[in-house]
Amino acid sequence: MLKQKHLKNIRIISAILVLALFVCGFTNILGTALIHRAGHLQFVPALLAATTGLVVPLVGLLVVSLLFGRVYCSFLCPTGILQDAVGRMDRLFRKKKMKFRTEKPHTIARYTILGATVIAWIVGFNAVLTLLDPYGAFGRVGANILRPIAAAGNNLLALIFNAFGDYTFYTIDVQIVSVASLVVAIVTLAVIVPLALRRGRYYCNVICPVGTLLGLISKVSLFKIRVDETACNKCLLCATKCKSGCIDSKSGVIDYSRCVACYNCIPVCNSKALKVQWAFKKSSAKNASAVDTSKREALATGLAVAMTATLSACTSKATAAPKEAHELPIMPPGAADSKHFLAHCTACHLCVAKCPSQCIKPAFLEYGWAGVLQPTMKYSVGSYCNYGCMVCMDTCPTGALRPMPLSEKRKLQIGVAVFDPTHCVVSTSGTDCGACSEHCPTQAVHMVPYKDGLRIPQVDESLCVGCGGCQSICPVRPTTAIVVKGVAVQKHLNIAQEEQAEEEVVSDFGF
Amino acid sequence: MKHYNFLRAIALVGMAGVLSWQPIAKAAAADDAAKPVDLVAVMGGEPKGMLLKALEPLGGIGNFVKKGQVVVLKPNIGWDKTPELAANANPDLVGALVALCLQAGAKEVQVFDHTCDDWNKCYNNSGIRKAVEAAGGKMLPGNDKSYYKKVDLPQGVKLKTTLIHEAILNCDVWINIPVLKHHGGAKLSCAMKNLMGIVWDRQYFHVHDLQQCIADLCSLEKKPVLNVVDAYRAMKANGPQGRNQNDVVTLKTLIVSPDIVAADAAALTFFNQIPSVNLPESEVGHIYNAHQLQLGNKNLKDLNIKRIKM
Repeated sequence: MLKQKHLKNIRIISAILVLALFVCGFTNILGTALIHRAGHLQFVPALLAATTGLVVPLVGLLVVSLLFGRVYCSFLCPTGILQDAVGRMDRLFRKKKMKFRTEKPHTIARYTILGATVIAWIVGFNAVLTLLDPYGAFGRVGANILRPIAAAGNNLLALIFNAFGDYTFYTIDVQIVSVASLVVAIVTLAVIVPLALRRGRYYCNVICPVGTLLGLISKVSLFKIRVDETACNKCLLCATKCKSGCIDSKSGVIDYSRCVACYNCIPVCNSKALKVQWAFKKSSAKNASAVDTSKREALATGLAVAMTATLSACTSKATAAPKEAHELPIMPPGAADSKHFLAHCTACHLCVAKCPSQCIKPAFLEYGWAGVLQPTMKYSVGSYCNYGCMVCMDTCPTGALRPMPLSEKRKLQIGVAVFDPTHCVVSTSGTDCGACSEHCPTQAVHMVPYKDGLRIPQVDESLCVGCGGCQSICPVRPTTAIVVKGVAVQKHLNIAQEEQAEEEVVSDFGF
Repeated sequence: MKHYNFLRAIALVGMAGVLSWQPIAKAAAADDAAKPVDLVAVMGGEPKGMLLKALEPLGGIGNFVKKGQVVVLKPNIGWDKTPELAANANPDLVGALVALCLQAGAKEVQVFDHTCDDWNKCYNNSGIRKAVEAAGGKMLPGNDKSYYKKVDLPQGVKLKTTLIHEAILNCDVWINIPVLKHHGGAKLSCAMKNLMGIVWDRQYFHVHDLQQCIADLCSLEKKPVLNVVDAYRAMKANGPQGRNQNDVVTLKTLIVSPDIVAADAAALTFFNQIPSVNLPESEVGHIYNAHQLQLGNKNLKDLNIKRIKM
């Protein structure tokens, strides 16, 4: 039988693995397959994926929570683990003893935030969930802060190795993903780190809507940490070690809605009074409902409903306004349409971090306020959607980008190239160019006779997949002569399968 | 004495001219055979076999690669395409050349291209990484500006300076391995066009007269010692990427020359042998421009060409 004091160690091992996995995933040290699967075990991605039909991860997480409470928060959530890691490092270097105080439940605040998030999500204003999802928050830190740092580190290694003629490491482009997303990532860290240093899991118990939601389940979970009153000598050492501050320092009562199941309290108890037990076993343990909070919660939820209804009424007007075709942002492949995409993306920026061409960038207001920070395609020099690449679709854990076979992706129109002949080198300089056609994988952009033996590009929209190869290579800058515009709905082009022509034969050199 | 000899020589040559004096005519023919071979064209074999055949009249690989040298091969690996689509140089050919260079005593054989598509995908899906590494060569990255160094091109008309990959600048000798292709912009993609894969900023070319810039780039002081034109499979239309197999024609041909202009002129003539191709020399401006810069000879009739059918 597993000794209960080892629960903490199991939690620590899991946390280290998960954190390492996500750090390596978002810094591109790791490939796509593993991080994609790990992403499925994150609560918000699992919730969003469930709405596309993939319910297993969500059901799994809910069942685990119903059994053991908020284990997600301590075992799986990268933002939660990051806070633990920050606290642990601090204590390690400052040789300071861990001592936490009992926190107030902040009932109104946390249920308001949860209510607002849920309602905003239901009415289609996804930005609140996007900003508060702890997995997404970690992802943005990873993609916007850790990845550039890792890239710089890689380049340092490349510099050293290449000097010795070894090309195991090669130089890669270090770039800031976008100013807006970098600011959001920095603010996220600026809020989480100081709180983690001083107040443990304060963020998780006041702000994080996932924590609050799982807290509701945790209240009725089947296995809980229970205090054996006969053994407890009220030293309350456990309360000072509780990162959540959920053990009342006077009564020793545990508030299960805020317990993140870190199991730190179990081994510290000298009287072995704390144990994970079947919640309905008769014993002298007290339950958390010393104060009846149900009225407060009802009030808070009501407030949240009223608040978000107003908010959503404003925003739904804004999002409902049909945009003109040229204003449409280009969505990454597999996004289907903006409704599906915006409703399922949690802006974790895993696709942003993984895109080998670095052409996926977080939007600012291109999708409106509801789609702040959600990924969009930005084509620039050397940066476009590779015809044979499916990394973003393969890696997306929420189902916002739906995977498809490569043969289908190659027919998927995510945008349409628009050519402006008056801007083109061939007409302005009277010299050959054809760079756009050269880069067009479907020859939607093809060269037609112009004058003086010159040829000029022409676009066949029925063949254009909107990859941006043409735009990325067009030498006319800053505004290129060929620009890809977004489409409202990504559709599969009806490209007829060409019959295999008979091969021509050559039998002489001709010289 | 000297004057006397000179006059006698004139008299002899004059006599020979008038009388077509047989011994002298024979001597002249023998002289022609001893003249170095400018270009070799081979048809009908597999890439490796044709390469060996082509190098024979040129004195073998040892004529170009010496013991202890660092050799760079620059195949066309521009696109994320499989070998049968002929968008990139033939991997068997590149692999065979790596092996030959190492046999000739090369210290190291490095292979790279500044690709158009994602470079790792290009290196892998072209089959070239596998072939090169199997033969003992080394693939170098060409994806980042930091690998490129500024070089002046004093002979250049429109392109006076550009950034060239350091592998080219640091090696002892390098060999150019283009694949014969139609090209939407340059009209023909062959030996000269393939040099655009050693530079960082290709956009400059496209804005400042592509056909002249390609020729200007070939005035680079450190020229390839050999141009090995892969025409095992050629892309006859929709180049340089091609749409599908229908753009590819199997020609089983290899053209090798130390003269980059001659290689392209021969390749163009050969390209026009494909029944559906009609590409006048006047449209492929870079060949003419390079000839004008005296970077090589486009007039095939002036060259000593070896033609081999296998």
